[in-house]
Amino acid sequence: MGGWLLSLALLFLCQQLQMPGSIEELVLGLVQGELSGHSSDRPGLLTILSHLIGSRVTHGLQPWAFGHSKRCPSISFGIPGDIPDLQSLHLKVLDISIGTITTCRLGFVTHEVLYDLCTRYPRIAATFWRETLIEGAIFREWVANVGRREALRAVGLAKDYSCDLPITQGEFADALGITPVHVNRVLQQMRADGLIKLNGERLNIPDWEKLKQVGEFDPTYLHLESHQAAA
Amino acid sequence: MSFTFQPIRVATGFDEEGTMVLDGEQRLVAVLVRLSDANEVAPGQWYLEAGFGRIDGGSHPTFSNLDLAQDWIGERVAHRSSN
Repeated sequence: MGGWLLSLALLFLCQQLQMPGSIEELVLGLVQGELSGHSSDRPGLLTILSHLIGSRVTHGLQPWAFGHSKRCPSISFGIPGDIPDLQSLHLKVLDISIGTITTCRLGFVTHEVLYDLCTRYPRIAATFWRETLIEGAIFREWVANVGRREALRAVGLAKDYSCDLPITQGEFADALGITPVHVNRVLQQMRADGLIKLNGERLNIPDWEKLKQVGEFDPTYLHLESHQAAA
Repeated sequence: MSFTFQPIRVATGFDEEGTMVLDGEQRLVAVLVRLSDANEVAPGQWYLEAGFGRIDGGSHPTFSNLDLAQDWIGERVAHRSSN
């Protein structure tokens, strides 16, 4: 289980169990900008991002999250269903800050509720543990400058090798540690080579296999296979 | 500090011309490239493609003309020299 399924299941559980911070008490809103926090903050909230939660359906902008450390470049991009600060559950000090780059619909669950859930249901605890392990694997790939393209497909946001990509070239540069000029050159070269088609904020990948080959992409680190899930 | 410019072609993969920036002792300080008009970030601007020694680092600004580029390089070199 992962992505938006995990988020929905978590919220459903909170609702069914009538736990503090259950779905009725969730802060569901449309947010854009900085969400948290200072490095000295004690993490008290878990953020869940999804456009599927709640009674209102958000039209137009797809929700995207933007994770970055306080003084460092971006270290991850979040997509609907992600729990970007799950790793803070057992840490006393939050060492990242999270903001949004488009309008997002967010859900919040307190750590207290999650502790309770994990105590009652060891398999849920194992699922969260697995999520953070995969997040660690993704981060290792990030360090090696490998993107998360397959992750877009994994959560069903990409259809026919196409997805929304509301990330500016400047933000790409920030995340990759290169200059915007370099990003633009690479994107132009990729377009010229027929690897990508960009139409506004819409990304199309005409030849997925070719792009995988050029990008030396191996999805193993994403641990997408269901049989790899924690028993 | 005075610099001299020496045109050079740079293999950026695009239709772009560049110039080497040499210091008073004819040492290569930087390579500037005039970005293609097709560049979507800073079309037609002078881009610090590479800097050496005292202007090596993560900063790669763009300039609207070579005078501004020379001023920036001069300030960086002078600033680093005073440290």
